[in-house]
Amino acid sequence: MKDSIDILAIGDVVTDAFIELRASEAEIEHDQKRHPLLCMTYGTKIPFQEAIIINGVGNAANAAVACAHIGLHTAYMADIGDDRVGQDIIKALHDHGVSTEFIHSHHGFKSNYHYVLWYGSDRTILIKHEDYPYKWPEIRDYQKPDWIYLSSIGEAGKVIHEGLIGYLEKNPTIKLSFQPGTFQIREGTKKLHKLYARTTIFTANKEEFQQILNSESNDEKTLIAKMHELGPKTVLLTDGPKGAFASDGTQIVFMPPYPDPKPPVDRTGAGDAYASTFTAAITLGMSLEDALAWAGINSMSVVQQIGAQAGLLSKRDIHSLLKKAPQSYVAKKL
Amino acid sequence: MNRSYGVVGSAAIDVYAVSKFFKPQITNRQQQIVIDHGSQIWLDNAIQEPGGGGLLSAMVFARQGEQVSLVTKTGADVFSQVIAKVAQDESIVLLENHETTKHHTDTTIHLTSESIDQTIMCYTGSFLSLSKSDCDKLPEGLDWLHIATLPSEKSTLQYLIKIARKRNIGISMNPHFVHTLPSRTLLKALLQCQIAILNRDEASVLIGTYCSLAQAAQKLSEIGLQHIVVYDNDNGVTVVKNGTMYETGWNQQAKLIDSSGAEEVFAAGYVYKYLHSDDINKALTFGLAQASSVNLVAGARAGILQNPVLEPVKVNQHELIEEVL
Repeated sequence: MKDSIDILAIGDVVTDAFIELRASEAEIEHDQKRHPLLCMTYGTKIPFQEAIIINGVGNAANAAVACAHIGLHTAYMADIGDDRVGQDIIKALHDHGVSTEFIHSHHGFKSNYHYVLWYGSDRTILIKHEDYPYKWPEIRDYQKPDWIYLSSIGEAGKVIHEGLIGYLEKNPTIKLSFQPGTFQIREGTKKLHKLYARTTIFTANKEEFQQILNSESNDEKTLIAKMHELGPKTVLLTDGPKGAFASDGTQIVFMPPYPDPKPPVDRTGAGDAYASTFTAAITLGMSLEDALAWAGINSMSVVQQIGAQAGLLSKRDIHSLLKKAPQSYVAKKL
Repeated sequence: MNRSYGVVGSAAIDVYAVSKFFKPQITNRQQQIVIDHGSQIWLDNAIQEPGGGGLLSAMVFARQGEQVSLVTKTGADVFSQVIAKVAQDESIVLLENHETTKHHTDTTIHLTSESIDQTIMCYTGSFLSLSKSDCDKLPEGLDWLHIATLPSEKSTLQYLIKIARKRNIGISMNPHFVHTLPSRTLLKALLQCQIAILNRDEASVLIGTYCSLAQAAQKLSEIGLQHIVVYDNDNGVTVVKNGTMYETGWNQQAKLIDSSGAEEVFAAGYVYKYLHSDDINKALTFGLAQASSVNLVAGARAGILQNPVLEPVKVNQHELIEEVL
């Protein structure tokens, strides 16, 4: 492994406990907008089928693991508690080949632990983030990454944003890929305008674009153009099973989804896999079209397994699936 | 005189997930929790507490100063370490084995808003793999065996009974999950117990018909159970022993049938006090006080009482009347 870091992922890390609900114990209804609603009888005991623990996940952690699998020298910056959950998180990331030198363990704090209610191929995540005393770490010159991948951090993590902006100002050659999480989206573009302005690759799904831009537009071209105005040079808009759009400011490319070989098992991490694989491919100097092709394959693979990381592929596996891709799996310039 | 107890039962983690989104809504004429599927719900709180029939029962005995060894099975996961620490803090000798199971530690998730009612999601994992070899860990010199959770294998239950009989020690059983074994197997095991503690649903399954507490207790007594305790949420507790029936209602807070551990601590409290006093009234008072106490808090551990001084509950006592059923 080479010494210099290709990509440093930053964001909260958690352990997910997947709670598989039995089909007979819950049901899915739909609201007026056709959003699925998980309904469970109140005040009763509901046995659940299985509990599966997956350590070291979260948007940025998933991105770090995806990049490491692809072969990038990947480091990860996050905050954990000084408990067994934290130890297991570090071990899990190590096992995936991610450097954990920037993971800060806080004495007396718990590590983040989420419960994922898994019903059908979808899931509802019960989240409780610890309010760690976040602090931007010292990054020595020999640790300086080529890219930084920023994703979800809890409300208490604003200091990381400020630290990151300062660090990027001092290191103008470092490129930033930004896939905002819930709180970063809620923060709005004004508060985070320096981050948007400094972003090389911005990725989010269509609903997140609408929320961030405060736009009701359904037109992807409009949403992408508005995002470019905030600063990002390359913009990736994913639209679930419909496909994804990427733009470098001069052209917009659409990519259909890679066909699922089997019905998806669990959609957790599909967006993370898409965004991070796209970024990894761009860091390797690939075109928008090729980066989209890689991203769709890794995303498809992830939903075939439980959790956000089990299905992440190596570069060789992605190439192999790309060769088997149907003729329809081809990027189209809009 | 202090006694040495062997307790066999599950050790679990109860997770209390608190959010306004877990308030009930009326849909299709029933109360339901309705949440956006595929969404993220930011919890107001997420509290992990130790639970499980075996662990809570062991705590009740240990807090009264008794020596307790707990045979259980946890998973090779973080929760097993939490349980080990709790057992250590409560002076319980933990005889668990998490190396031989691939299942996760038993876990119960309580989806709750502010009210005490909640939707409870429970998972029985690692304890299902409790085997005869795990039971061999019960130490010599025990005075009493309390079976707080029923093993899933018939042979394991029979082996436990065999160990107790061979060592000439008494057995109490609060089986739970009565459906995990055939009724006949369970009944056969209960006939060899000195004290059997069942909720009304469990008793009804054993009898084969749904009936009142008095009917259930008397019928089980007629079948041959030596000392039978039956309870439900609405009516209270009925005990039958030596041809006498004892009946008591609830005090204000006591409600046994939920998943906060009230059933388990009631049963263990009853057994403890009965063994020390040979007095059913005192046993009922003590068991109900433990149940009431844990119902006032989230997480049973904080509610388990240590040698409390109690006002006796009112118990109606009378000879059995024939042909109740």
